[in-house]
Amino acid sequence: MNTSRLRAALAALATVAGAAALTVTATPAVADEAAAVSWSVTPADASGPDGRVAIEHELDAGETLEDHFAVRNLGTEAVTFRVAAADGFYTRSGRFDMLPSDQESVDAGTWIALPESVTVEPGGTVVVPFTISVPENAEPGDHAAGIAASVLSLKQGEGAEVGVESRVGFRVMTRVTGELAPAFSAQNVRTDYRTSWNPLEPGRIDVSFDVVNEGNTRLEVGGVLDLAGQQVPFPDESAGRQEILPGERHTFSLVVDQVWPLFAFPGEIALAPSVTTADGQSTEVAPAATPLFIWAIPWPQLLVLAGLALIAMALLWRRNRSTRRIEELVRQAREAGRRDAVPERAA
Amino acid sequence: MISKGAAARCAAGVLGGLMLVGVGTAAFAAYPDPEGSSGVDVKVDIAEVQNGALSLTVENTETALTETGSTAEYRQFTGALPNVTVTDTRTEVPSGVFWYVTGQASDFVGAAGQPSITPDHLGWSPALVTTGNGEVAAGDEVKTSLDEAPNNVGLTGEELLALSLDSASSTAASGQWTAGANLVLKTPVDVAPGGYTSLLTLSLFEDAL
Repeated sequence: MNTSRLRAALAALATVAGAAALTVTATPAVADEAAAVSWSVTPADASGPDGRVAIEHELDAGETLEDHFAVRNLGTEAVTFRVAAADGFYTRSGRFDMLPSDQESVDAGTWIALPESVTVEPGGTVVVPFTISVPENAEPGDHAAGIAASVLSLKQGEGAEVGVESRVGFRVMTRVTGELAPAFSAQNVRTDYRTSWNPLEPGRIDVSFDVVNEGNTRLEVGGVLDLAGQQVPFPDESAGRQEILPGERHTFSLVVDQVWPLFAFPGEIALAPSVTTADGQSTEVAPAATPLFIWAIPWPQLLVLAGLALIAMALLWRRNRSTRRIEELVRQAREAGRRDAVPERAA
Repeated sequence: MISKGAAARCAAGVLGGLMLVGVGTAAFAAYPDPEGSSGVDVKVDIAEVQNGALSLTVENTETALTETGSTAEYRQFTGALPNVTVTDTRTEVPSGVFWYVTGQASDFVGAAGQPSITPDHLGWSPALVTTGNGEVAAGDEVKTSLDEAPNNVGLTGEELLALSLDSASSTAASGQWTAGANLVLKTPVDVAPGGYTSLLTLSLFEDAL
């Protein structure tokens, strides 16, 4: 790779990434051209990885706590990783992620103090200490952040350049003590009856709605959609837990299958979230139901009926017509007979 | 010569028949199966680590994002994400713990101060390079906001690949999986010319079912 081009591109990226991001002189996290970089990042104690998947603490406002994480370099060359903390969020598909380096954190991401970079020898592990300092005025409840160690590689083109920052991280959840007030609602309920144009097959109902976390605790959301005589639990088992952070919303899209179009269905979305606590236990929150109503007109079946009716009408019509024609012929014959008979009598 | 009545009769009969043929055709409509993808092996050297580790490996290959396939409606730039490999050599993983790799793009910032192109204009189609035994799945194709629904949201926080577990009692498989993605940037034809820079952030995280 041309070094000056790399530096120029890096400088551009640094501008994009803002002050908190990398600088050209430090150039942490830039992988060399030849060697692939392999690394792992896990929560740790002072002596090394301690088996935690994520870090969760319950702290008072104003309290400070020290914890650790380990960065392992599994590659063949020494690598300087960029280390950063940022606010956490859940993606559209319900995965935890943290803000990228060009976006500024405003919440728990700013509470974490840690070194900007760490250099790890090949095959080595470095334990990095960090502190979580909860501000005096922090709101009670759950605050999500993440910590990650990253490397940067660059792609360059004529029209647009894309830098790729690859990071390995873990979640850092902080619950600030105080009054916990879980609250939630279902909003934007959208329903759609999807007619099967095969009149011998039932259709289906697509239902989607947003669950909004209006409280200050993270909610693990689950419930049941009761519609057209069917109960559809959500989230479905393969999707796993669905957590929603305070202030966030998550869209659930459900399908009620095998529904015959019986003109109209009332139903309801029963939400029964629970509050997950820092030690992994969960507390139930009062459930709530949101009613919904959907039209399902049996168009294909009505079309079949209409088609059959039209064919039957056409056949009947023809039969009536031929009957009428025969009756007419008979009448004409009788008339002719009568006409023939009358002059005979008269004569 | 057909009488008016006969014509009306025929029309009614034909219409009725057509309605039946219409729904009959719908009944026989078939949907194509999604295509499978073939893969090639990618070798990554991993040093031995005590107790194993869940690690990410990135190649530092340079790829151009160049203009191809532009039309009268939009300009299109394509490229490929460098391959990303996740290796799990851990011997003891708690049940229900799985991992995933997400991707999110930043604004394409104009080098000469021209207006930014927002990340919803960048889409990707992830694909597994190593097929494995179905333990991991590539993320869905994400289209740009200039494409049609569904999934036309751009790289706002999307999945590249993930270990799929069927239940909370199953445990993560150890192994090595590589994925890549084709990138597509679509802009309006009147986009300001000049250089643009964006940062695509890929993140490996762990979670529990």
